[in-house]
Amino acid sequence: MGIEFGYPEAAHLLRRAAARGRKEEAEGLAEMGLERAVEEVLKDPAPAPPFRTTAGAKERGKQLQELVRLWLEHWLTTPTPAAERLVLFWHGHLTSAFRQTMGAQGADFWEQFATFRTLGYGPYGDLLRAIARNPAMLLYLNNAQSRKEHPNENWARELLELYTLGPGHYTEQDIREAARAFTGWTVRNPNPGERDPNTPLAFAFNPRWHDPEPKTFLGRRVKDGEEVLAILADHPETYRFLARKLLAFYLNPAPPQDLVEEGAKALRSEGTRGFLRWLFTHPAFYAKENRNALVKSPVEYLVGLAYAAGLREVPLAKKGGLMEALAAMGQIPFEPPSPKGWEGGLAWLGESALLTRLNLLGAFSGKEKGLDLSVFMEGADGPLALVRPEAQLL
Amino acid sequence: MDGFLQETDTRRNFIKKSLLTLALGQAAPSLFLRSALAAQSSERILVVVNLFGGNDQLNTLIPYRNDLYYRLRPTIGIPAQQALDLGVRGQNLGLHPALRPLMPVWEEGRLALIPQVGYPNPNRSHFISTSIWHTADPSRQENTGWLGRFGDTQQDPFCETFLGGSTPQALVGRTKRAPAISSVEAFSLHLPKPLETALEKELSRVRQGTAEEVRQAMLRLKEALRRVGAVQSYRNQAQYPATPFGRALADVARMIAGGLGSQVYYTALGGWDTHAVQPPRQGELLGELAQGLSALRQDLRAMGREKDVMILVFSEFGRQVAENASQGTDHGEGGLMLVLGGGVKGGLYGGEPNLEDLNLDALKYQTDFRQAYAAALRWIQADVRQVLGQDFPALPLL
Repeated sequence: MGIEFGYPEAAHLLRRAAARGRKEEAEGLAEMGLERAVEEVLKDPAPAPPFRTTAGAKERGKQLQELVRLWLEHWLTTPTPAAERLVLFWHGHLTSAFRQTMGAQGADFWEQFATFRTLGYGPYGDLLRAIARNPAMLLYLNNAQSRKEHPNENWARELLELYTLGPGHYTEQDIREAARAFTGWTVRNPNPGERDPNTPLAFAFNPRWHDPEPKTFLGRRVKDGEEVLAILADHPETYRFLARKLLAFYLNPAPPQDLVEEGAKALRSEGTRGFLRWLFTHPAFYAKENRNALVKSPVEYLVGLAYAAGLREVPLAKKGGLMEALAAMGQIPFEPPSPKGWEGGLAWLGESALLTRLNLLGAFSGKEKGLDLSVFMEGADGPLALVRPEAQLL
Repeated sequence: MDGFLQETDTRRNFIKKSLLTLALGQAAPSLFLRSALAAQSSERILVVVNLFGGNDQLNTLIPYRNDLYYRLRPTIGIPAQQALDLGVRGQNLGLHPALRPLMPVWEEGRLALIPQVGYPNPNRSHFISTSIWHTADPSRQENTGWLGRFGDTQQDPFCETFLGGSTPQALVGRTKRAPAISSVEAFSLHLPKPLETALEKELSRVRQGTAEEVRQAMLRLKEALRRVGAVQSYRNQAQYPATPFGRALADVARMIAGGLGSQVYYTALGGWDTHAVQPPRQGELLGELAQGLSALRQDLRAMGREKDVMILVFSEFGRQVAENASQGTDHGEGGLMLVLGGGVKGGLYGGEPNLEDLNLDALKYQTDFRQAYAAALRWIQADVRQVLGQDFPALPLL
């Protein structure tokens, strides 16, 4: 024990937990002391505003732009920004991509984010069960169309490989059996008639599509998807796999094995908030080698920068350059590049991506007066610090 | 530096003289002239296109005379009358109609179709299989990419270029990683002067850990701005699809025309993971692919470089033979590879697929992908053994 928790540590905590902050907030945390500061950072998420669009069901580009802007502005203005960085984690973990998911509308994706927000701090099993019934996910990984005559394997495969156990802990046969178990898990439109981008779809179970015969999954006899999820939510590998990913997101791209083991236990017994409480009060979190060890993702960079400049709106949004900039930097929210999410770390620093980050700084020219970089980056002593490598780090 | 300029000068003079010779109608050394032009930037070039998601071989190269194909794919099978006939050399197979722009290449004998390419103990995960293709190591011990290992043996940091956001594993070596350029057009620094000056200053301050990695990335960016800036004045002479993939190929042509000097260009086209409602999606993607490759070929021809460029197209796996109940197909094993270019020996490398001899519903692999890599490496005069760890017999593509 004995963590020194002064201003630099408070700023580090805020930067890592929320990717957003200004001097007076870090000062407030430092005054509280470590334990209370961590409770403050991890308080229950404030709800996000509803998604209301005038775009038609087929105006998908417009819906996407509105979703992106709505979320980034919520992150920028919410009293609980740490919850939004965690939403980003879940979005990159339990992925769904808007443009590919033709059957889903803006409201379905906003609903999925709401699930990440509401259940994100709780036990992973609860979140997993909710996402397995989430319409955007059911459509993205095609389980919504999976029928007993010839099950669709997409969801079952990614569930095992990317969302729970990780490769090496199951066979092709387990994937096939799990796919059978989830047949019939589908979606329905609560409003008969045409799809309305503002009304989300609902989960539905279609017994005619479901294969009721017994299946053998990971050596156990099961009947339906619920039992598959229960086995996965009880499996120690699920927590190891997830703890490593969370540590790579919050601590260091290559976390040490002992911390992964310790973290997996905290995650399993106390849920994600318990895990983050454990991590944020752990001496390793404040150790020199773990400071400035993470590269900000494009979204974190943009939100962090806008907040440091005292803005209440995301820059470039009005001129239509926001999506272009996000694409060039390699991260459009609601559009992960594959079911594996974003690779992160040094992969953010490709030549064009890094160039776009630097070129963005021009948008803050003239706003230097309100610029407070003390939480945004370590060691800033004026606006020119924005071109330092440290400005790219968390 | 002087020496380099001088050399360029001499070469330019030489070309000028040859043109003069041609104009004066003296014994016109046209062949000679062409090779002199070709030697302006590095000679042979490899372009690799990664179709991420697992392209379905059976609906790309269609066994349209096989009843079993239609029985196993009652709703998504491509009707026989739509398949593009490949003539005698195509045996009983035909191409997807969206690939029509590639038919001239096939007819010229410059398109190689290699069905069921894979590796022992196939893996059906997108990510693991992609990594196996990128590292060229099915045992999964190796972390560097096959082209990254080639890059390690070269001096120039621009010996390889990735067109896209983040350099894939294939282009990451032990000492180098290829630059990732997503747009030639947008590749300029626009910073207010004080920030630009501050950036210069910060770049000279060595750091530690991740901050140093960022500084190194900034230094690479600085070099890239110089190199890519020099090709921005070149204009394309063909019409590419107005998509990120089309733009990436257009940029490849600009880089070649402008003499960027890369021997390898690499890009990706995603979206092939057609688990549901496959036909429209795959058709659209195949069209985009074929139109893009056809435009690139035209552009290269216009600059007299068609003969110098080999294009290799691959996907991490093919898909299962029988369609699923959502008009799609699930992950399979062996998949189709396309190789084309002015120096490529076209044709079908492998027979009609056996739809009865399957592995968990998937076509078995026939040809090891490293045999195609070996041919590609020979094309760019790389040391096959050094890059692949052993001497794979190269497919006779050259």
